[in-house]
Amino acid sequence: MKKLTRNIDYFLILSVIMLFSMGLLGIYSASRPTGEEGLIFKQLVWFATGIGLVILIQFISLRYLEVMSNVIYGFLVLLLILIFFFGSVKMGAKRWFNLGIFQFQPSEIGKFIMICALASYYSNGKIFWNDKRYLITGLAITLLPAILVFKQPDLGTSLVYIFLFVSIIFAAGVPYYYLLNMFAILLFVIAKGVGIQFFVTSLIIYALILYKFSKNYIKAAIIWFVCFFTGIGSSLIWSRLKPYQKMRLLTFLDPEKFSREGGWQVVQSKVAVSNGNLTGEGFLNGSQVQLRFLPEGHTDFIFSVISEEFGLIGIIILLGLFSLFIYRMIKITIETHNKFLYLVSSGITALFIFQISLNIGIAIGIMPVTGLTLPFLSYGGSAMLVNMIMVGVIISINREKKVI
Amino acid sequence: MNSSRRIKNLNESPQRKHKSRVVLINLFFVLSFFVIIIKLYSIQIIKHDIYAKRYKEQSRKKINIFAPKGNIYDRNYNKLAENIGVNYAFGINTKRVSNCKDLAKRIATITGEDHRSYYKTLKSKKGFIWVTRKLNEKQREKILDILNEEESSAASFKVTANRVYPQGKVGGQIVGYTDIDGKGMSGIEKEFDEYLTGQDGWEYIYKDARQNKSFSSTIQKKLPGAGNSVILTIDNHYQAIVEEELENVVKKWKANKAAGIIMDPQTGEILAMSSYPNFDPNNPGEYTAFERKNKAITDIYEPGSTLKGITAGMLFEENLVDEEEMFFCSNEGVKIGNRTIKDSHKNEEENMSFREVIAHSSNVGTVKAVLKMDDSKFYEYLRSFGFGDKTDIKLTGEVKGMLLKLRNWSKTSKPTMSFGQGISVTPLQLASSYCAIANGGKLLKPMLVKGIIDKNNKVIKKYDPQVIRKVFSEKTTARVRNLLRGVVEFGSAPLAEIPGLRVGGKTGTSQKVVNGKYSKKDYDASFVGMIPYDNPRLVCLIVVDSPKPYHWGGTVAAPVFKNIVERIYNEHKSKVFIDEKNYVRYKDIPDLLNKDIEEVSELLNNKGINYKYLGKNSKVLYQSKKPYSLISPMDTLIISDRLPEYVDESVNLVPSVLNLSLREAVNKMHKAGIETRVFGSGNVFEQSLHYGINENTAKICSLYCKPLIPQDKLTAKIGL
Repeated sequence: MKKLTRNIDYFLILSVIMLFSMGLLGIYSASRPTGEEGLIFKQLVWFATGIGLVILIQFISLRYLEVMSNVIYGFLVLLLILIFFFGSVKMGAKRWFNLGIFQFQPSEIGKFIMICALASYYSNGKIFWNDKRYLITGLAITLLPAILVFKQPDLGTSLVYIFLFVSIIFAAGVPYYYLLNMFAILLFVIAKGVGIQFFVTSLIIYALILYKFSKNYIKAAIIWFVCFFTGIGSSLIWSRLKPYQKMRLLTFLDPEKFSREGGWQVVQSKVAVSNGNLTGEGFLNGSQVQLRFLPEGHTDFIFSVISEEFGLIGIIILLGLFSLFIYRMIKITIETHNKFLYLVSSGITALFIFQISLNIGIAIGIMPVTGLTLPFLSYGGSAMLVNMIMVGVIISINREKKVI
Repeated sequence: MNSSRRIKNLNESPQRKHKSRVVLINLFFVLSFFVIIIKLYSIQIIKHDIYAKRYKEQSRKKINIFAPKGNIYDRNYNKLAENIGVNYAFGINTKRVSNCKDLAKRIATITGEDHRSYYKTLKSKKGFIWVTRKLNEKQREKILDILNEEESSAASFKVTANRVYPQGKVGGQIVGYTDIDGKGMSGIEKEFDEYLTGQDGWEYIYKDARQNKSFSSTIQKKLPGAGNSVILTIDNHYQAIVEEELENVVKKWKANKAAGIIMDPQTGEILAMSSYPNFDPNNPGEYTAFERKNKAITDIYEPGSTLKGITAGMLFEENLVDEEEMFFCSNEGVKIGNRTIKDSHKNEEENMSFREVIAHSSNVGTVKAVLKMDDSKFYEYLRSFGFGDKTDIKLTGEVKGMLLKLRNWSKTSKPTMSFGQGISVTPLQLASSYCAIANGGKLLKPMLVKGIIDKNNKVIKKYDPQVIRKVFSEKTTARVRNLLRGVVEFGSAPLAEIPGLRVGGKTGTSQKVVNGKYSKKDYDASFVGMIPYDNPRLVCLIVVDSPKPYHWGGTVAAPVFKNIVERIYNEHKSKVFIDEKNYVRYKDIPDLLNKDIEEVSELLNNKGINYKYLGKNSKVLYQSKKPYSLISPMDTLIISDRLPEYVDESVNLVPSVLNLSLREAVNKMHKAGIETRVFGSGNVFEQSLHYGINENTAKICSLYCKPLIPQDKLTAKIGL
C-alpha cells in the first residue's frame, strides 16, 4: 500500500477548488432572483461528496478499473435500457432515475464508463489499424450506448460518446488518414447544410486528397461515394429530427432569427456576456441575471453569469484556471507509462476539453445549444460526482506512475 | 493483472509513440480557447453597442407620467378649476385572482367601503376590470401591500386627475366638469380641452423578463408638460353676486328658473353669466342635466318688451319716428288683420309721445310706430343683431333662437315682433344686442375667454374684442339710451333706479308659450339695464321664468338688476365700470397708520370722511379700510390705536373675519348678531359688510371663501 499523500498533484486540486468556488458565486447570483439561494448548499454537499469519492478512489488500485471496465460497461447498457421503463420524465426527456433524494442520470456516469471501456479495448494488445475490425468493434462499443442515449432523447451526450470514441482512437494512434475519412462524412453533412456550392467544392477537394494518399482506388472511390450519399442523405435525416432539435440547429445558424425559441437563450447569454465588459457589473449586480432575462444561469449558462458580473477579468481568471487544470492533466497523461491508464487519462482530458469548449462556445454563440454543463461550475449532482470521480482517477494515475 | 501484460505494455510505452498526439490535443485545447477569446472580443468590444441596445430594449419599460390639466382662472386670476395631486384607479385581471371574496374584504379594509360591492365587481367579469377609483397615494401603497404575488402581477393602477373647483357652484355652468379621466364634458372644460390637457411625460424603469417586477430606479425621464391655463373674462365676484341674486329671486317669486348676464358693452366680455338652478362641478353626478346646463345660452324665451328698445333704434336709424311724435295708444287696442293688439295695462293718458310709449311700454304705440317700416327692413335689422344665429361663444349647447324667415311672415308678424312676441332669443343674444346699443352701435362677439397662458404664465393666445358689424349709428344709440333712461326715470322700471348711477333699461314681460299657445299664467319677466345710460360701462340682463304671483319685469326682474349692480358697486368698486363722473361722492382714504390722531382727524375732516376713533392713545395703528381705497360718504371709517383683534366689541361693530376659517368667521358674525351667507369653502377672503360700525344695521353678511392653497404667484403683468 503506497502512501496516500505521495505524488499528489496539488495544482490540479487547487484549480478544481478554485473553479468550484467561482461556480458557487455564479450559482448564488443566478438563483437569487428566483429565491433559490439554497442551491449553493446543495452544491456544497455534492462537492463534499465528490471529495469523498476522490479520496475513496485513492484506496482502490487502478488495475481493478481495467478489469471491471467491461462489467460496468454492461451495467451501463442495462441501466440505459431500464431507463426506458423506469425513468422519470423531465422536460420531455427520459434521462433520470428518481432515487428519492436525488435524480440519478446514468448517461452522465456513462461518459466515464465509455472512456474505461474504450481504453480497455484499445489497450488490449497491439492494434493493427489496417484491420478494420478494430475500428468497427470500437464503434460498436460506442454506438450501443450512444444510440440508447440519443433515444432518451439526449443528442448532446450521445455526441459526447462519439467524441470520446474519436479521442481515444486518436490517442491510441489511429492513422490521420483514417481519421480524415471518418470526419469527412461529418464535414460533408455540414457542407451540404451550408450550401450546395460548399458541398461540390469539398467533394472535389476530397477526391484530390483520396487520389494522392489512397493506395486502393476502389476503396477510395467507395469512401468518396459514401461521403457523397451521406451528404445528400443528411437532408433526409434532417426531416426526421425532432422539432426542438431542428430548432437548436437552426438557432445555432441564425440565433437572432429564431429568437424567443431556442435562440432566446443564446441571445440573452450573448447580451449578458457583452454587458460584462472589462470589469463586470459586479457580484449580484448583473442586470441580465438579476432581471431574469438569462435562463439556466445556474446550470448551462453559468459562464454568462460570471462574464456579466465579473467581466473580461473574471473570464481570464476562469480560463486561466481551466488552462492550469487541463495542463496538469495533459502533463499527467504524457507521463503515464501504462497504455490503459494513458488512454483513460487521454479520454478524461479530451472529455473535459470538449465539455469546457462546447459549454463556453454555446454561451458565446459559436456552438449550437446542446445542454452541456460547465465542469465544476454548473449546478448539478450527477455531473459533479462524475467529474470528481474522473479527477480522482487522474490523481490516482499520477500517484501510480512512478510505482510502475 | 499479470506481470507479463504489464511488461508488454511498458515496452510499447505510449509516451514515445503518441507524444505528438497529446501535443495535438493540447493544440486543440489552445485553439479552442483562442477562438473563444476572439469571440469574446467580438461580443464584448466590437458588437457591444448592438447587445447593449438589445439589453436596453428588453429591460426597460416606459411608464407614462401623468400631466396635470391646466387651470381655469377668472379675469383676476382666481382659480375656478385646478388639479390638486392625482387619484388612482385600481384594476385587476380577475382570471388570476384565486379568492375574490378575500380580496374584496382586503380592499374594503383600506377604502372603508362595503366589501360586498367589490366582490360583486370582481365577480362580474372574467378578465381585466377596474375595481375602485379615486384612491389617494397612501391607499394605493396599502393596496399594493395587501396583494399577494400572483395578484400584484395581475393588478394595474391608472393615474387619474383630481380636478377641483375651488369656487364650487360659482361659475360652474361656465367652467363645466370633467369625467374620471380628466376629459372635459361640458363648458370651458370641454371646449378648451385641447389647450387644458397637458402632455404626459414618461419614465424608463427596469423591468424583468416576466415584464412585471420592476426596480424603482429611474433610468431616463421626461417630465410631463402641464396643460395650458384658460383665463376667462368672468369676474368671480360678479359671478357670485349674480348667482346669489338669481337664487334669491327664484325662491322669492317661486319661479322655475332664472338667468343673468353681465357684459362689458365696450369689449363684449362676459363678466358674469349664470342661471339658476345651478350645480357644483365637484360632484356633477349629483345634479340633473337641467341644473348642469347653462340656461343663459341653451334656453330660449320671448324677449317681450325688451325688444322695443331695438325696434325704437330701427325707427330712429331710418328716420321714421321722432321722440316727441305723438301716438294715440287706445285702450281699445289696435286692429291688425283679424287680431287686436292691446296694451298689457290700462293707459291713464292715451295720447303719448314716442318717448312715453317706450317708457310705459305701450304695445299699441310701438305697433303703430313700426307700421311705418317695411317688413323686409325690419327683418334685416333683426338679422343684423344676430337673432336667429348662434353668437358663436363656443359653449356646448348654445341654440340659435327662433326667428321666422321673412317669406313665412304673416301680416301680424312684424307688429307682434316689434314688442317681442313671436320671436325667441337666448338671454345672451339679447344682452349682446343691448351691448350694441350701449357702445354706439357695434355688435360685438360675446367673449368668455380672455386668453390662454402656458404653465410659465406666458401668453400663448389672446382673444381680442371682435366687432361683427355696425348695426346702428352713434347718434341712434344715444337716442335709444335716452329712451331707456326714461323707462327707469318715469316709466315701468322705477325699481331699477340706483341713485347716482343713472340707470337706463327696459323691462320685459312676455307670456310663455306652453303647448303651442300663449299661457295665461306663466310669464317671462325680464329686465335689461345699463349704467350709466349716457356712457354705459356695464350691461346686465335678468330673465326670470314664471314668477308668481307677480310677473311684471319691472316688479320681479328690475329689483334683481338693482341689487346686483348695487352690490357690485358697494362691495367691489371694480375698475371695470367706474365712471369718473359718478365717483365724486366717493373719497380717497389716506394712509393714516402711525400718524398722530390730531393730524388724522384734520385730514379726514378736510376730506369729509366720516370716521370713528376707538382708543385713547395718540397713535393710529389701525384703519378699517386700506389706504388709497375709496369710501362712500355713507360709510364710517374706523380708526384705532389697537389692532382689530383688540378693538372693543361692545360697539355695534361688524367684526373683521378676513382670512379666518369659515367656522370661526360664522361664529364671530353670529356673536355680533349678524346672519351669514357663505360662498365657496375654505377661508374668507371677502366680506360683504365691511369691518366697522354697523350703520344700516344690516343683518346679513355674505362671506366669500376659497380654499387655503398656496396660490400660484401669478405675476401682475401677465399681459391679459
